[in-house]
Amino acid sequence: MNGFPPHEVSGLSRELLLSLVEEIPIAAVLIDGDALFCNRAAEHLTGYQRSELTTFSRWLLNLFGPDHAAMREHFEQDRAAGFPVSRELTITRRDGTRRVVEFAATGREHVFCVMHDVTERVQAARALSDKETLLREAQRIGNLGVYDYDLVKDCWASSREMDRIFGIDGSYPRTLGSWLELIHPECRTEMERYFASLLEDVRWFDMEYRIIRPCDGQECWVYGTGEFSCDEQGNPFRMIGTIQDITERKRTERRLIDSELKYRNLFDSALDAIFILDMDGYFIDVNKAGYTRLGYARDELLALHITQLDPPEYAAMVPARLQKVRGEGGAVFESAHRRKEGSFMPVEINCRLLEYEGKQVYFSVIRDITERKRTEKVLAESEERYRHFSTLTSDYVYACRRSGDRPFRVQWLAGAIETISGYTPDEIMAQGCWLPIVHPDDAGRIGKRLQDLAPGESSRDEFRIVRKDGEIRWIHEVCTCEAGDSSGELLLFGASRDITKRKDIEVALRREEAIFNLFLEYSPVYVFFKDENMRAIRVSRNFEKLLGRPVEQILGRSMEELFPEEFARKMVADDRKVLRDGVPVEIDEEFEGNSYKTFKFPIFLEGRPPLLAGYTVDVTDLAEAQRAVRALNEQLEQLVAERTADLEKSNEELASFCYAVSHELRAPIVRLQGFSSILGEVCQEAGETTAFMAARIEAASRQLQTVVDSILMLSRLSRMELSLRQVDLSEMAERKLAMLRAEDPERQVVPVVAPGITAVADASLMEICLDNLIGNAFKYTGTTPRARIEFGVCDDAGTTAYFVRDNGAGFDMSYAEKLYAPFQRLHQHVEFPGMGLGLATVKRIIERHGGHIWAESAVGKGATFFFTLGEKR
Amino acid sequence: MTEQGALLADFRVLLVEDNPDDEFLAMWVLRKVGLKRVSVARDGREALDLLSDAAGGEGGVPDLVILDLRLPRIDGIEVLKRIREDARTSDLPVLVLTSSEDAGDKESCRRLGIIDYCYKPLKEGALRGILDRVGVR
Repeated sequence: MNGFPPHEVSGLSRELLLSLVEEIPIAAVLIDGDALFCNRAAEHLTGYQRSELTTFSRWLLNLFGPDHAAMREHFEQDRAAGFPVSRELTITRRDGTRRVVEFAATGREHVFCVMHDVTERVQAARALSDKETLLREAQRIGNLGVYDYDLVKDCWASSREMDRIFGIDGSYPRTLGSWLELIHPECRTEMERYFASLLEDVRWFDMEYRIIRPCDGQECWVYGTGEFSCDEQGNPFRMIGTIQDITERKRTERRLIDSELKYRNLFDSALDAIFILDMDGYFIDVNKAGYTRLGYARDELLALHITQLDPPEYAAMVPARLQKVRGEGGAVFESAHRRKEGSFMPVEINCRLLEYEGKQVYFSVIRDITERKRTEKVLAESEERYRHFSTLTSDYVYACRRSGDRPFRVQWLAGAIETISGYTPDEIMAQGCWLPIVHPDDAGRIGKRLQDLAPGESSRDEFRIVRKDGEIRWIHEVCTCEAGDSSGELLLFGASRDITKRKDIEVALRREEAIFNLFLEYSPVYVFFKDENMRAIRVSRNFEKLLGRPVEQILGRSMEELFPEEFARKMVADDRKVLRDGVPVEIDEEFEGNSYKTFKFPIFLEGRPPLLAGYTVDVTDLAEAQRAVRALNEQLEQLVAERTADLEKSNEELASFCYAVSHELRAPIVRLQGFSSILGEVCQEAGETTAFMAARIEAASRQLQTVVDSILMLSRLSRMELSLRQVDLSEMAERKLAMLRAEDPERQVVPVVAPGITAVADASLMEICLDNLIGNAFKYTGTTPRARIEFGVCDDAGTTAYFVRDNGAGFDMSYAEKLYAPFQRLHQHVEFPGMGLGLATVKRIIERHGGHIWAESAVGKGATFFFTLGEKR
Repeated sequence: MTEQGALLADFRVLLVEDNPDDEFLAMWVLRKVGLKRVSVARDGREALDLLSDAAGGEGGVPDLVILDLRLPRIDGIEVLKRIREDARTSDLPVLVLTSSEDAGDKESCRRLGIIDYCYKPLKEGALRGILDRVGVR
């Protein structure tokens, strides 16, 4: 209680007053001059000890810090005014925290002050104020208005944001009717109905609707919500809700719809085909151009896979191309698409990877490049042509200037000068003019010509130049001389062309012409060329002698003028036929007793009438010689025919004679035989010797008969007609063998006959043939212990060869040729009896059949006789 | 004309043969088989005359003609042809006996109709066979 002034307070003692002040729960401070007294509550409020607040100065300093001077000034002003109002002050407590206090004071000399801590209240108020601000901000930012409608009073309150949205101010009436007024006339009736239905069912208001803002007449879309509050009877009396401005969203939606429509239109009206494919290459969508151009209906195309449109060479590339699109987001490539009818359309495909309805798709724009391809092709061809032309061009042009007597100097040079001369334009210009490259033989002439040229004159000339590499080129030049700007100045404009090739051709032509002329001059054959009217245009010199007139009087003449009428007519007819058929002909002609061979052929020249060319050879001598040869041949043939006939006749006669002789021989032999036979019988008893001799006569005559029979047989074979038919040779051979074995049962012979051997032959002759061959085999195996006779067939170079094989005596192959000659014997008669005519007969039979016979043998090793019958297998 | 079962002794044969040796040889064999009534013609003309006379005569034509082909005046084939042309002898059995091996002759004879075609000399066995065929006992 130190420092507190000892004043008296009316009615109360100082002690009492002090203890009262001390005890009240309100912070209280007594100020007397600079002295200051504070109670316990003040200590509590400020956090200071009472000892630290003993003076007013310290109080101010402690509680207000830097503001203490200003606070003292306010305090003094308030004291002077008798402390009319309380103030809110902010103090800083000893611990540094700040509190808001409500400060009230009274008194003049002695001032009594109380302080209420209002920090919490102030903070709450501030927080409230902040929240309201936030809400307002939120509503504003969210275009969210708030309303509160009192259904009983038919009056609504609105937030500022709602007013802004509705475009109304405070003066606008706020009733249900006035709200409906705001609604767009087109939707108003509907809204009334909706609102009425809400009231009946007490439902949420939840609707998007259009209003016309009164402030600017603009149409606005709003989204309204609302909730009814009801009384105890369930009747709604209040409705609170929000209004949101959705105009922007609506516009966006509208734009979206519009843009979708626009897209579809664009999609379908696009000139290029558009394919939208899924990632597997199947169609999702295709525009009109896409399906109509390929000749499909939309649904048909949508059912396809993209590779079904590509020809095989492109279909194979599709996966790689799609991968490229996936990797790079897009690509352009060329392909071809198959139309429904099968033809192909070249296309350029611009493919992009896009998002479409939430999926990745290939979006391809397909352009028909048929026309472009064609244009490209034409362009390429044209470029190719141009390139060819440019490499072929042999022109160069120049402009020269001359002043006074000085030579022309090249001012400008362009074209193929380097190609032609080997010098660059600069090199030519450095020499002053192109005259230095002119060939020395032509340089003088050309130089003079240029010098003599007067203004207005033109000149053309052909001369040679020497190329840089020494080669000679022919130049055709055209130039014009003109007067220059200044007096005495001449200009020369020229164009030059390389005509070396033409010159070469000219030279070659002249040379060929010379050769040709020489040929015509000395040709021994008649050479001629005629035009399409069959008039002579070139003939060889020898025609002069033939026609008795000089060549000059032959050329240009018609055939009728040159030859006798009939002859000329046929010649012209032949000529025309050659030109018409275009085929060369060879004609034999007779003229004034001589023979001629004429060869004619057409010469077709492009763009010109055809020519007839040919040559005629005098074949009079040849024809004579041929005639002589022919006559001689005919004589010869006649002679041959006669001789042949003679020969045939003599052959015939010989054969007949032989036959007759044989026959005449035979008859007496037979008689001889008959008598000896009877003699044998008659002399049976007469004596042994007689009988023996009769027997010998008979044997000899029998042998003679056999010889004659054989000769007769051979003779007959040569003359008789063959009667060909299928003959079973196997059967025939078996029969012969069986017969032989039956005749000589003592003999042990193994027959081996291949079955089924047949041949087309004369049966009776084949009987004789096999009789002899098998008979021989039987005969020559007579002394062989284990005799074996084989008949078979084998192949001889494609022809069937039959054979008879035995394992008998055989023969020396060096005698093989003698085997078939008549009366040839290789064995002594005693050993193997026989006439020596058997194989001759066989050979004749085989040859009559068109076959041949041969043998293989060795002495003691048996023999094989092969024969063919001339039939092909 | 021959009756069935004519006796060998009654069987009449006309042998047409110009060569005496051949005639002898043929006769030897004919006799040997027992034929007694054999008459001989020495050429074709004679043979035809004999046949003609016999046809008009009492005994009639012989039972068999043995005909050589190479005959003077009318050759054997012509003889055979005329025999066949004559109605009285058209059925007469003819045996050709020749040394000709001409296939054409043989064919001509067969066509005109013959009993057989034999080569000289005539064999006993062959003759017996032929007699059997004409029904001689």
